[in-house]
Amino acid sequence: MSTEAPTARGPLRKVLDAWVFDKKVPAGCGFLRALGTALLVVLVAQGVTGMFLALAYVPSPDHAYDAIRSIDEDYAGGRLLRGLHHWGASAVMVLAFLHLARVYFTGAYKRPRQLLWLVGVALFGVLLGFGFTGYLLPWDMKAYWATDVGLNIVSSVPLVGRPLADLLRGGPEIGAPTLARMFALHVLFLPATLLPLAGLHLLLVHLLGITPPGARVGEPEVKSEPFFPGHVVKELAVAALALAVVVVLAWKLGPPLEAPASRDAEGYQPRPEWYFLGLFQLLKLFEGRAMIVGTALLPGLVAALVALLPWLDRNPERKAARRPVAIAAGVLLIAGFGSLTIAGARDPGSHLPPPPRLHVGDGSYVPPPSPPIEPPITPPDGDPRKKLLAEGETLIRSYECLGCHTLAGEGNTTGGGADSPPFEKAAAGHDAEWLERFLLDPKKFKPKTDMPSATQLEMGDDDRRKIVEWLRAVASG
Amino acid sequence: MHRRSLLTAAVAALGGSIAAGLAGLGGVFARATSRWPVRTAKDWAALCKVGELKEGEPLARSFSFVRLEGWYLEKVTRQVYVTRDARGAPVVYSRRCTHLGCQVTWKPKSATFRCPCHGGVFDGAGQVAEGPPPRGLDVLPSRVAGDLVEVEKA
Repeated sequence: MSTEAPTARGPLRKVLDAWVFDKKVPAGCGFLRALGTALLVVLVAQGVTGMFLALAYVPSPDHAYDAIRSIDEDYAGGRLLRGLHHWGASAVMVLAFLHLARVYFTGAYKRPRQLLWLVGVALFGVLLGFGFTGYLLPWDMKAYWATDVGLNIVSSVPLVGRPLADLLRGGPEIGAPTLARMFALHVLFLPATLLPLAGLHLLLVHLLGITPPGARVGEPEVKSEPFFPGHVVKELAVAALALAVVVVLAWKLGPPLEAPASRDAEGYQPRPEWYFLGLFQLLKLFEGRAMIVGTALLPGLVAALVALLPWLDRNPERKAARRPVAIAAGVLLIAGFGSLTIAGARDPGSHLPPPPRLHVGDGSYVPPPSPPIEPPITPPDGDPRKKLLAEGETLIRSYECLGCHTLAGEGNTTGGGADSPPFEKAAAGHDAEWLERFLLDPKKFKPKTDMPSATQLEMGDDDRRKIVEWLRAVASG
Repeated sequence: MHRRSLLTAAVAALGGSIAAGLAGLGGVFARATSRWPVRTAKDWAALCKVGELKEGEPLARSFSFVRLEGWYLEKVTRQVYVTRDARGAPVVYSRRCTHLGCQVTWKPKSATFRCPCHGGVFDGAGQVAEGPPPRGLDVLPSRVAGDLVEVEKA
């Protein structure tokens, strides 16, 4: 106690102070510097909606489509849930792109933040991986054909492409193993990659701080202001706006679903998700053996240039006016990819709607008739029920039960009271097990009764079971 | 100091072996699960009668078969065109575009097979006429049995 200062703060408070309350950010950080947090929030939402979707999803070709359909139509809020996950994926792509563009155009990737940039680029790749693997899971036409094309693109990469595509596909063509793989990647491998990378990214942001707007590399920070609450409000505002847009899209448009996956694509024109449309269009430009330029070389080159950017661009300036080459290159790249995306969107392909769903009960689906139940084996000497009634009556007469009970008005009609009910009522409300136990020891159930136990009557197990069966038959009329 | 460098070496050795072991195991598992065993019985499917085939009028046909993929009994359906080659012999083309696998359709007016995805065009003999496909349409193994054109179920 005495070794600690009286103002000592608890460990949680220390962490919060370091990460939130005592943190400083450079003056002039606007909403553009809040995109990363918005992305993080939308990713968390993706994780949550994804976990709930996994509760109802089955990654097998004979069930996946029906499971998705069932989520949409049978689960309370299921359509909204899947809509949130679907449109959330688009929001992730938009925010990741905007975040990356902001870092690029403000020169924030420069020393000392090279590693931060590299981790960010890797995260972008992981997010594209989420988009691609999530694609196949609904197992509809779009899922099937987009994945087929995507895996063939992977396959066209020299040397590593073919084995990698085989590993992802798990067989000669898309099938059960592919779906199992995409599901495993989407819910296990990729999250396991995303979490440490995102953690590292956040840690580096915390350690290195936000880049002071316009400052040259190595220039000391001029002014700073508290992170909380001024900048936190901006971050949460952007995050809330992004979430609101996702909710509205999910609510109004819902999740898309086409006809179930089929190899027969007569009249079907597959198109990928909008964020892959630019790549899709790029593929049209390179013919014959040059196709790997579009599938592998050009995208690979751009990815490599982007990843190595902090080491390629040695210009210490961060003000846009003083880095004309970088700004022009960025604008050109975005304009190029943007126009490819727009060109791709002009040729929208086709949409095969889901077939009408069959329901039991409204006449659209008639389940096959149940197999006939085996008829009870009738003994050769006639009706089993009559036989049971006759045998039972013989038994109760032989044990002189009618000395107290009555059967069809015969027996002790002087009224043994509620203690010895007529046989027609004796079994009411009791199952066979209870009746057997009662016969074994009536006093256990009615301490004052005079009824002898099965032992006292020297009643064998067979007789007792027959009497119970008979009691139940008599009681049921 | 001697003790410290010894321990540092031990840390490197142990850490290195653990990492290498895990990576090796990962490699083994990736290999073990990389392909589900696929089993198909060798068989032939009839597509059309030889007499139905006319010069320059490919017939769209499909055939199906069942194969075991790991535990999963899969019904595979393949889309093909049956036509005659330059010498008049029946030939079966896969409808998978050789670019990236979309399904080509015969257009009688231009007498070409067209892919709906990236603009690939093949002529009546299955050779690339336009666009990105790297090679002509794949020819599937086929035979004439009696008066029927048959294709291998594979």
